[in-house]
Amino acid sequence: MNQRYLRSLNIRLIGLILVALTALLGVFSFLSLRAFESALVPEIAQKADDVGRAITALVIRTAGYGIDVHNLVGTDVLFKDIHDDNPEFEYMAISGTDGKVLYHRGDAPTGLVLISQPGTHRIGDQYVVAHPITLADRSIGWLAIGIPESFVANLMREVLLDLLAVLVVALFLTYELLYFVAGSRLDTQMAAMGEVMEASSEGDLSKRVGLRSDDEFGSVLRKIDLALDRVNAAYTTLGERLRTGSGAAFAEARASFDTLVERFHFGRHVIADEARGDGFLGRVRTPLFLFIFAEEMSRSYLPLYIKQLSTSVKWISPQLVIGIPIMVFMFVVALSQPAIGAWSERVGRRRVFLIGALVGFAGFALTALAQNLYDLLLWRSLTAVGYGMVFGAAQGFVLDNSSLTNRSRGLALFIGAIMVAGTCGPSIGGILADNIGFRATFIVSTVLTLAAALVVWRNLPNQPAIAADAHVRLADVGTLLRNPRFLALMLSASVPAKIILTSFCFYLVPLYITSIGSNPSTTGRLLMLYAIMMVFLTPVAAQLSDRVGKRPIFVAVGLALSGFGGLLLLAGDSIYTLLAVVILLGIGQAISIAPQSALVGELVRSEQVPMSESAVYGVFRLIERLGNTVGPLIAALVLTKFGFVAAFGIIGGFVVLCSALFFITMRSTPQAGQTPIGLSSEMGMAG
Amino acid sequence: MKRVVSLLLAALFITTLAPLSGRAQAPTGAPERTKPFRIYMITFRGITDVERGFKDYLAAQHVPVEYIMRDAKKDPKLVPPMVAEIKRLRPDLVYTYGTPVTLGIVGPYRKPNAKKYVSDIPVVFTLVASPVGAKIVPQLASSGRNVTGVSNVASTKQQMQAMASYRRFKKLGLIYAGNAKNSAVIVDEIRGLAKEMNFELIARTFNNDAKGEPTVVGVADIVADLKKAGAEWLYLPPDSFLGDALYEVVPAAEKAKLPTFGSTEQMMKGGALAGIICHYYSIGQLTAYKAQQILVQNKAPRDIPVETLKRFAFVITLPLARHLNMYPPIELFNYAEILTEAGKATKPKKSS
Repeated sequence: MNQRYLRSLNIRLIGLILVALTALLGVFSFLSLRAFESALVPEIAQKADDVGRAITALVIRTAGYGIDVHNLVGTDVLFKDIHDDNPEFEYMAISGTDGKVLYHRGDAPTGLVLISQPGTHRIGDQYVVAHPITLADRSIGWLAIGIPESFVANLMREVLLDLLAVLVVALFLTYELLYFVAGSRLDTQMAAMGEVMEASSEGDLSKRVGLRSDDEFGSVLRKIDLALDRVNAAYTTLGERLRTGSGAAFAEARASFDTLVERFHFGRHVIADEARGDGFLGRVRTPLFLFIFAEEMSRSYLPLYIKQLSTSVKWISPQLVIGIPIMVFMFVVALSQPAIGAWSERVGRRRVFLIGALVGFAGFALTALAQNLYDLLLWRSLTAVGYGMVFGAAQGFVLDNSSLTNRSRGLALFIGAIMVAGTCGPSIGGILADNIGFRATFIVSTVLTLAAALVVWRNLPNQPAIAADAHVRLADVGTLLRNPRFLALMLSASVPAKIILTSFCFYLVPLYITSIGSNPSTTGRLLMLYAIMMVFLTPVAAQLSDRVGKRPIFVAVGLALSGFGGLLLLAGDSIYTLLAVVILLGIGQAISIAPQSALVGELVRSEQVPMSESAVYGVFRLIERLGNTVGPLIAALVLTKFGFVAAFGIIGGFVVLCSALFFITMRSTPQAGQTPIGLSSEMGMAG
Repeated sequence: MKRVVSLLLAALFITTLAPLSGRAQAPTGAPERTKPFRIYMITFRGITDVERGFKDYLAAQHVPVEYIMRDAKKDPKLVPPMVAEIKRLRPDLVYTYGTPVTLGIVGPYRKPNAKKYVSDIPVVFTLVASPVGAKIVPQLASSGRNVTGVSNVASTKQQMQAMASYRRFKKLGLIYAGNAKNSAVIVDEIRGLAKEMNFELIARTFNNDAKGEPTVVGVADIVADLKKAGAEWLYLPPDSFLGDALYEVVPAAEKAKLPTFGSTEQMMKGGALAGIICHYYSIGQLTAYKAQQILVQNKAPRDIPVETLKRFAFVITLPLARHLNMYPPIELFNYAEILTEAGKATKPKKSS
């Protein structure tokens, strides 16, 4: 029984729960979809009925003035006005008493000959709702309204996609929840037990699990500890008795006792007291996830919220106005990170996390109540400060509590929380915004931040922070930027990667989606797809690049792929092209992100930069974050001048060019060293 | 209508407060007003619904009023002697009907002349189609002097759009008296709109008689010519000579199968096919509300904006539509006021 076995058991357990849950949610989704379908058609017929009543009332009024139904004027305009308000009414017709059509708009469903039966009929590819028009019990004629079947199918598809998004989110959330409830503790217990067992099997009987929990597993652990205690007690007693005894038999026994001492190691060494294992690290995961999730929710609708709030600002195009709060948020996060890092070392991670969550709470609450662009800017900046604190504190906590051996696992935990939040947040936010509105969705975010604060307050220990060895200093930035290789990496790879990410995901996609008549739910689903690509492909690409080396190729190919997505839109703009854009962006970013970090470390060694690796990473992250900031700005400027399709194309083309430039400059870079894993805003979504 | 209701409500509110403020003032020595206000009322063609609305409103508000009635008998030359009389009688307020009378009493705002015009007594005008165009006020928000009033006409653009919503047109016929300044202003305005809305304006004036005054003689030919030139509507501007000539113009248009679009209630009563208009009675009420603000609330006329009713009635004469085979678009039945009997203008007893 070793640690790996225990881990795989753990994973299998969680996997089993997830599979069961998936099946359950699947059945539930299927059933609710069926229920929805059967309720949908009568609902649509009801609407056709209500609108139809307004039309027939008008015809009846003209008849009341003695105008014959054959002499109506302006039915084309009437039908057009109705169609403008109800685009699903593909066919509208008024017929005489004989059912022969006199006036109509749109194509009649094949098979419609006479309108002479009241009610809803399925004719050809339309649902046709027919109304008799009568004045004082005398029939005047008929009104028919046709709704294409595809409209119903589209609605169904929308609901299906929403359900699917919810399903994915539910799975991720269940995983997070399982981790929170059982995982982190179970993990700690299993790790400790594994270590004890492994040591024992190798003859080291000095270790104890030392955990106090009242569940079944806890009692097993206690028994193991107890058994080891007994063996140790027996060893001590035996030793005492041998020392006091005399005679040949004793001498023989003493000799074999000595070999026993050589073969086994005795003592009492409690693991849990010092184990800062994954379980301990995991305590920061849930609150971090909750907070990031709260922010990610706004991703799919924030630009629309700004648009709704902002009146025109002189000298600035409306597109740029929308970009400003998004930029300011990222700018504040980027600039506040170094200061927050230093501060949290002084006052402790727990306190900074708590303050950050409460600041975020206030930020979201005030954002929900924003009156105009100016106070919105203020509240978003406040939220950004909170975000920066939470991010910095969580990162500091992971660094404090991980040794060199488990640091990468700790960071994976940290990045995992951010990625999952990035996957679930936008889609849930979009669906919520569609149904309860922008402001109410921000209120939901406040609840999440409070929950994050509560979890930290209850679970995160107050421990002294360990000072990191480097902080970003302006002089460092200058030194690094004078290095041409580093400069090339920053300017032609890292910054362009961030620009295309934030300009597409945070700005252009949400706005473009609304411009083609879709809603925040769609934006949320698209952003979710991006995040899923990242979740699954980033580790694969990282491993591959570790094996293959040749990191510049990974970076360049990834970058080129993400840029190529933008160019794709030039070939034809539809929601499906946009889907491809987002997926390509996800794949591209996933391929290039980890190799980029690795390259930084390699450059430090190969270029003999006169500063510590972590200082170099600090500068790297800072510049990268500034790249986040300019993304929406560039997108807004290009959009104002050239429109959506060109904006995607221009930024995409720019990134493809950058990738070529990067590759050419990097060709001569030696490949060496292992992958240092830096604390990245790997998702890009995080500051 | 909503506007009128809210005005009435506002007025009601004011009247309930007025006695209170009156009493509050009593200790300072000002006696409560029992002496009626004297309003010098000048009409242009005798009493109309406007004056009825005006008087009814003030009566309903219990504003004590004594009227000094004068009629210009459609002759602007009779107005200057009234200025002298006003200066002698010193009424509390002067009421003027229509553009010629109003201009005769207050003069254009650019040429103040205390001798020739009334300037130290508040003047409330009514039924002025274009107060800015006629240079009575520099802008509607404030006259900048002792004058305020009510305009009775929807903006020319609104009228053009309403006409197009009934029936699209590329050529618009129009007839007016060449000597009427206010009509010339409106014709210029329509010329501007013709470019903007992409139609052609064919404007004709009435013939002049030997004295150089407009006459109805030959009007049937003018209307027939307009039809022949391709006019699809005959627009009837708020022109006071045209108002008197409706008994000739409207039948001539009907005969030529040319639909008529009226700008005032008078035109609709004279049998025009359609129009967006204010009812004269409501205009009288709004005018009286302004008079009340001046007399009871002691507001300066310059602080009271010149207004028109916010809601106009889209009126359609259905029998004429049937006769011309020009039924209105079905959507107009949602809000139009449908006349089931055609109006008919009679020849005025005395023509100027």
